[in-house]
Amino acid sequence: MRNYFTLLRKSFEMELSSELAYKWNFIIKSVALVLLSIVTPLVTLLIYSNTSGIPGWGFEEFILFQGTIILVLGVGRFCMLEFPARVIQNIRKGEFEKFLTKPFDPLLYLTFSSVQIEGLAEIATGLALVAWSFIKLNLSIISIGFLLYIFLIILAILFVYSFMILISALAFLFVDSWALFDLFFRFTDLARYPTSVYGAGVRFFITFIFPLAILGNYPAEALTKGISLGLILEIIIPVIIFFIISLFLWKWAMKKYTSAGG
Amino acid sequence: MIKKFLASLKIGLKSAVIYRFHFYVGLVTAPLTLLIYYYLWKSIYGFSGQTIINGFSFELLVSYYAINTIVAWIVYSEVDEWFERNILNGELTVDLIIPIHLFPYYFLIHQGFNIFCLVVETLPFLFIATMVFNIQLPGVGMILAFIVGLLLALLLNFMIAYLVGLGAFWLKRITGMRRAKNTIVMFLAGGILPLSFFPIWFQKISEFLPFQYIRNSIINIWLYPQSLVELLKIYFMQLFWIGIFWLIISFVWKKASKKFSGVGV
Repeated sequence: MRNYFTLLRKSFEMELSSELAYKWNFIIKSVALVLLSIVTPLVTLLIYSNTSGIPGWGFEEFILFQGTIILVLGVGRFCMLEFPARVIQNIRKGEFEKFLTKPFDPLLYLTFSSVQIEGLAEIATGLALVAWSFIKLNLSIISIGFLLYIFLIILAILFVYSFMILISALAFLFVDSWALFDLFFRFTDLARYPTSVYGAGVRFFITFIFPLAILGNYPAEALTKGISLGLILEIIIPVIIFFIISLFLWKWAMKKYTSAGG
Repeated sequence: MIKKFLASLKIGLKSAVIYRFHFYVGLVTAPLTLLIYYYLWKSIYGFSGQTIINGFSFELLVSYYAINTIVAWIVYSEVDEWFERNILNGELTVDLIIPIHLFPYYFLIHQGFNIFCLVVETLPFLFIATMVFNIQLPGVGMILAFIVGLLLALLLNFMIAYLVGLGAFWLKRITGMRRAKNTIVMFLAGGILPLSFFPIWFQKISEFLPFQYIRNSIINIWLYPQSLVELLKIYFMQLFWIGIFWLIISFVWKKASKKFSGVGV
């Protein structure tokens, strides 16, 4: 495991030096990402100043909700998004076998060697929004709610990771797998609003079938409103199942891989 | 010259056919996005107990988002990305020796994409939106006025992207600039929320900026019957900003073309 963390550190250093080769672009890109992340709460502010807001969610609570999503997707961008992108590129070039010949597990190697530094800007914005709403809502970090919040965020990150594994596995089957990225980001739009705004069908879909609600809704709800043990179990199970299915598909896709010249 | 223009258009159309899967994905995801807005605003209207918010009934606001999707597809431009990619891999050299100026060449390639998008995405989406979300079609006069505004918006947005793309001559990588531009344009053009939800002071300033003439004003032509004076005002502002961007692009292009040295040339 130590080797993998060394790999992660090295990838971070390489990514940083590669980004700094275009210093101005790196600076502007970081500002743009913060700007993009700020737009979301700004829209919330406009909605709440023109209407009574979203039922069941006060302004500060909704900012906590959005900060949580930005944080989770930021972590996803920082250490996961690059991984399926590399799989797709290398499969297209017929160069994927280079990952198979390394003295590492290909999945872990790709996970720990794929870093996108720009994710840090999103993580910072997410943390800032969460911290702001924490203060405004007078929440404590010494509470069961906070422990649950952290646990559900870890679960949310696991879900994002599972999805990245799924895209990577499907890249072995479909040539135009970039479109799957589009699909992923479009689907995450469903998670950008509380489950309470949707009808029962969509709510069921994003909780149990494709558990997107874990990205923001349930962590924020656990912290601000509290959730029952039964519901926690109902949330955990679909994410774990999704993770297992992704891993299974990955293993299956690896067995099917024959390379471009194979 | 017409032959060259048609050839450029054909290149865009052929490229679009190659990347057709992306368009199909768009056709699946766009109704999904509209559905999200539908549910979101349905709950907000229900919770607020208001039937009209900032001049929008619930049905009209859903129509706003539906037309917004169509306008966004048509005015969309990734010419800035082409500049970045072609400068980094040296392929811009090939584009520069083509016997047609880069601006119309890239613009027409884009229109090739647009034609494909119109057939595969826009019209089917409009059909779905009309059937499922009951989007009302305006009268023939307003549809024509909408098309004129849309074409000018398309040119205006292309010029903004083109100008950002020229930045690659100096910075090489412009991912940051592109993202910043996309965010600013989408937000200030009313791509996320109609501008009537913004503070009055902002709306006043916005009238003098180019952004609202890329989306918000065009969508309003579809949604509200506009007087001739109002229409002329929108077109005038669009032409004004097209003129301004034309001057800036001409100036920057002269500097940029002197700066360029292709990879491997």
